[in-house]
Amino acid sequence: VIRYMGGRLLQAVANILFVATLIFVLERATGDPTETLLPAYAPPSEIAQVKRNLGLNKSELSQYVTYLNNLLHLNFGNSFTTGQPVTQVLAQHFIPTLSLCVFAFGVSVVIGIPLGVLAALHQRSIVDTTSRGIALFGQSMPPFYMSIVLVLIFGVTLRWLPVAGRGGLDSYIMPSVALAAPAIAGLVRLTRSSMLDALDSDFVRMAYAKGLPRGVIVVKHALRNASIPLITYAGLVLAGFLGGAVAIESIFNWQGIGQMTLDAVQSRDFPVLQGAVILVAACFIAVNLFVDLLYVIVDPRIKIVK
Amino acid sequence: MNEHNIDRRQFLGRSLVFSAGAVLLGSAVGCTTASSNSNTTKSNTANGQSVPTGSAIVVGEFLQGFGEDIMLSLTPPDKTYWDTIFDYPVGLSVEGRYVPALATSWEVSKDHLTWAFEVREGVLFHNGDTMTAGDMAFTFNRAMFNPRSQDSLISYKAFTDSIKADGNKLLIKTKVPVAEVPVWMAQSDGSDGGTVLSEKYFNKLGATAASRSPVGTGAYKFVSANGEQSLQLTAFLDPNRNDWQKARTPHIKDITIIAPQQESTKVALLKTGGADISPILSEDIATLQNTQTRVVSTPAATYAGMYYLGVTLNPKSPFNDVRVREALSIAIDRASLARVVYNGKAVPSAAFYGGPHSLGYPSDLAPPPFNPSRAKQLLAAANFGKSGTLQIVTYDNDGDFPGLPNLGEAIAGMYDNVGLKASVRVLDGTTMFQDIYGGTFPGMAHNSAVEPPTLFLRGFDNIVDMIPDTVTGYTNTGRFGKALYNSAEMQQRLEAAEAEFDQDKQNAMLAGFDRWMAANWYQVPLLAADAVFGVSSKIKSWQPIISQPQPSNLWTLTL
Repeated sequence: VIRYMGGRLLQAVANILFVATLIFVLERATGDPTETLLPAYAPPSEIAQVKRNLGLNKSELSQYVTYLNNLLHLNFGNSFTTGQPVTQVLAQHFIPTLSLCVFAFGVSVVIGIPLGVLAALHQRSIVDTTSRGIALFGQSMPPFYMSIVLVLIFGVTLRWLPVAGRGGLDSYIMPSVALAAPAIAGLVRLTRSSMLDALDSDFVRMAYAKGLPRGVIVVKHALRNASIPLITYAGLVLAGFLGGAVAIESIFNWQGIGQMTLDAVQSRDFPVLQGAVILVAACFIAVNLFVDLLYVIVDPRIKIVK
Repeated sequence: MNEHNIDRRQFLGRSLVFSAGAVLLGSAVGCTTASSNSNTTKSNTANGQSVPTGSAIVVGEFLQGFGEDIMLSLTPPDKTYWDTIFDYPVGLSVEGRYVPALATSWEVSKDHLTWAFEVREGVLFHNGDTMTAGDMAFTFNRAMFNPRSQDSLISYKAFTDSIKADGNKLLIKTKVPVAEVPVWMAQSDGSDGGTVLSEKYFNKLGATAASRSPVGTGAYKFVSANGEQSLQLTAFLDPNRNDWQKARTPHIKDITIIAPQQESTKVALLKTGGADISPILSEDIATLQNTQTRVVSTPAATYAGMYYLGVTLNPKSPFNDVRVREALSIAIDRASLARVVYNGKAVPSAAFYGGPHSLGYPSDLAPPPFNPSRAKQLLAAANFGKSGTLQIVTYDNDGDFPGLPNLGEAIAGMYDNVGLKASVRVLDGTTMFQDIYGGTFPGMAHNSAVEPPTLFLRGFDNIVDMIPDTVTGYTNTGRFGKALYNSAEMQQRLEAAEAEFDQDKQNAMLAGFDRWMAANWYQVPLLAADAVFGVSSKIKSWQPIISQPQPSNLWTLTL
């Protein structure tokens, strides 16, 4: 296990290094950030001073070496626009995003998987049709639009929930549902199809023949065997939430990583953008690693091979 | 190949612990912020002074970068909170005119090289320290000469010889005569450069701590920040503050500033009591009808106009034909644009870098007339637009001017009515300005091809005075070293106005520039738009500053 983990960690480091290099190169390809950061009338002396302050007066190679060296020490530098250490900026924005994603992930799993199971168990019934209808609705409704509709109904008309801002648990409900809706739809459809395959298998028929209770058969045998694709999908969903909640964060005034990244792109704040991309990449890698390890627990037939 | 079976039970146990930990961490994080986000209003006493009561929630522009050392930051602060906590030597009246604030008066020496600002006595910082000329000198020296400074004031470093306190005066010595020194020190849109910090407080706490807990002389003092979610301010009621400060004692005790980005969110907050004042778009006015929220607008906050790209720069440009320029201007029905696109919250403008209420606005000059039949005749006579299309390039930044893409589409429709096919290209603002000043749009470079002829639709602050970006578009003095025009007369007129120390004379020169531009149809003046705010029924009265697009003068709010 240690060797396996070591190998995966080395692979993760290589991936992050690749992502870090890619974002560094792509950013520089967009041109000189001082053109954005300074007004049109800024004199050359001011431009020179700002470039010096930001380290942009050095060659790209020198900037890259400094960047990698800092990265090794988990130092992402300081924001071009605010001067704030990027680690501090990331921490400040990652916490709201993480809490929203955990909440939305919980909503997705708690709603999506049971609905998918029910749809499979009651194939071609009203339950199945309703579940598939929910799935279709969730997938076809853009989160941005769903957010606005939710705000109008539950915030403005019914006044049940706060329309924006991160406060108590009630403030998590609408952004979580809007973020989770497409994931719920995906989980319902995937769970349904995986469960149908599992329920149609020999080991389930055997379990029925043995006289096991239906609940045990469904949860312990069918669902467990159907869960490998679900785990894969759920992992991607969670990682996707972390980097893809821009619209939701903007509508609900959430001040998370998505909004921060968008601001960094618009203001050409290279260090913040680098930090955000590396953080999201690291999250993807960590979630994928966790998913791989989870396979082993869920399905004893899967082994870690050195 | 070796194969290892994992101890599944052991691993399951560890995984469960890890998962539970992650979920608990996420929940704890959520709950921690939830509890820290709750703000409560407490009762207040003010040692015999008028007693502000109650609270209000105000929507600002953004809260990113709050708490950073603003002089070392390239992000200007959100003016809603910044101008509420801090003051400037030169302030703005409700009418949008420069008035004495932390400086009671200012004058320039006969050689026009030394400016003396008389500092108001007895003004207190929020921590009880008295503000002095030394604080002003400290602030401006740090902003201008600190090698790490990124403050807007470093633009003026090249012209500045020294900044020092002399008794109760702040002396600014320049290397060459500069008429706009008071503007450096002024409260104006987009600027933070002139705000005064406490030297003693900065030295005592250090820049980092002093920036995170800012101390100014404004009507409200900083209480706390909840990340970038909200700022809590409370009325500054020190009984020892001076009379100028007492005259600005707020009526409302506590102000919370939030900064949602989506327009729909702002409207929803207004409707549900989640905000008491918020800037809104004129198109959202209808959605606030039949609610408790009323609309307050202040005139001439932003201005929009169009440039003929290539005119005077490229001999091949069709815009060099004055008939084409006139036709493209008079084909536009400005009054309809103001009424329909902006719900009546805009007015036609006759000037070229500002609208009504801007200093130097030529009140005797009427906006270009709407005359589509003459426009058709002129276009036919100039043989323009018979083939191909006209291009309008613009960008989407409501802060510069609301709804520029919509405005562009409406103008394209009006061009269609005079037989011109026009398309609108909406670009990223940064890229567009780089391309504009880089001269890469069709027909901008000397002798280059001009297809499609391109108009540049932009918006900007309805500025109240001559500042460097006034002349950037017209002269080669900007950092790109390129202007949108190649006209010696244009440059001469603007540089002369910029160098004029007498405000009245400067205004007259600017008005003269506008008349000359209008006579030559060198540009397309369009509209000056109001700043529109939704105000909850809780707010009884408010006097926002004309020309300021963000909520201003919060001390004038009454419940």
